[in-house]
Amino acid sequence: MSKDKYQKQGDAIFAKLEKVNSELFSFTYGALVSQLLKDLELVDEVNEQLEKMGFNIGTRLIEEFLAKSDISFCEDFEETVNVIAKVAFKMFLGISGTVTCVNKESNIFSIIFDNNPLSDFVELPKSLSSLNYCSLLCGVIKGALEQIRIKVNCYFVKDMLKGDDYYELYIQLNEVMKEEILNDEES
Amino acid sequence: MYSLYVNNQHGTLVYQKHFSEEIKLNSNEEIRLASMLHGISTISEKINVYSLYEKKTNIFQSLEKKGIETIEGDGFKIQCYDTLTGIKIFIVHKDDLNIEMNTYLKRVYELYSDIILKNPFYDIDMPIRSAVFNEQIEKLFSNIS
Repeated sequence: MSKDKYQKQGDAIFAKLEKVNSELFSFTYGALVSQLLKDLELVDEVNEQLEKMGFNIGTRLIEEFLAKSDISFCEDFEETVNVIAKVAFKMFLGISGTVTCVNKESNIFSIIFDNNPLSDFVELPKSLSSLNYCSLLCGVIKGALEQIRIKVNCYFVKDMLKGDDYYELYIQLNEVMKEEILNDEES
Repeated sequence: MYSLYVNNQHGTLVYQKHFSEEIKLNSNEEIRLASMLHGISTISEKINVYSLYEKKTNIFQSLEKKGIETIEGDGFKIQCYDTLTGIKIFIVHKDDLNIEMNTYLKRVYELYSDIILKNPFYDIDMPIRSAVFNEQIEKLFSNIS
């Protein structure tokens, strides 16, 4: 599989889209997280709410991705993850990730990237060590893929905000939902 | 040019736009006909003769949309554009119009994703009532007779 192909595709789309200053985006996201921490008592609830918000964003973002890229459907899950890491990340965040297969049987792939515009300027206080600051991103991926009938688990396993050297995201394929016409006898 | 329609992934009509005074259908009739096209398109995937010879070894194959793309009749033609997410955008025009209509339908899809889905107060799958979207559609098709 030619991975360079998606890199080029991502760069081409990135070049023609309108852009905004990433600091404005970082600050807006930071304000969102801060507000959630004030509104909700527990850090676990904040994580959950960020992922839910991301899911809702993802269900709409997938349409823009499909409309503006020339990506048609992917042949397998590895290709799907490559498209996410090299085209979608480039298109919406200006970054590019590296994809490796973690576990073939369980269909787990990892995306590694070393900078994240969402968390520029952020230093997590010790009292918030269980906060998954960027879990909105996991929700976006889940929401987007669910719109094209692919159910996944998505979570960070390495996070620079928690002292790691890079970000690593795991995506695990749960299910591809089939669209079936019921037989007349069944309905 | 007669009409432009957008169906959601459940086959419900969410947008219609007429470019001609000749269209005499009422709202209920259009909703019914749009649902009918959704059903016919889904069935056509199942009765496709060539699909008998395709090996469906890969579960991802089922995600690809292979419904009706074009319907031709006396004096008119229907061109459909199906997205991976199940949105169906289709247009009814005179059969002597020689234009690559898919380019326009793809542009409608871009406008849909930019104007409709980025509106936080638009509920997905509900009818589209957007003055901005109407304006952009009129502009897009203003050159076509």
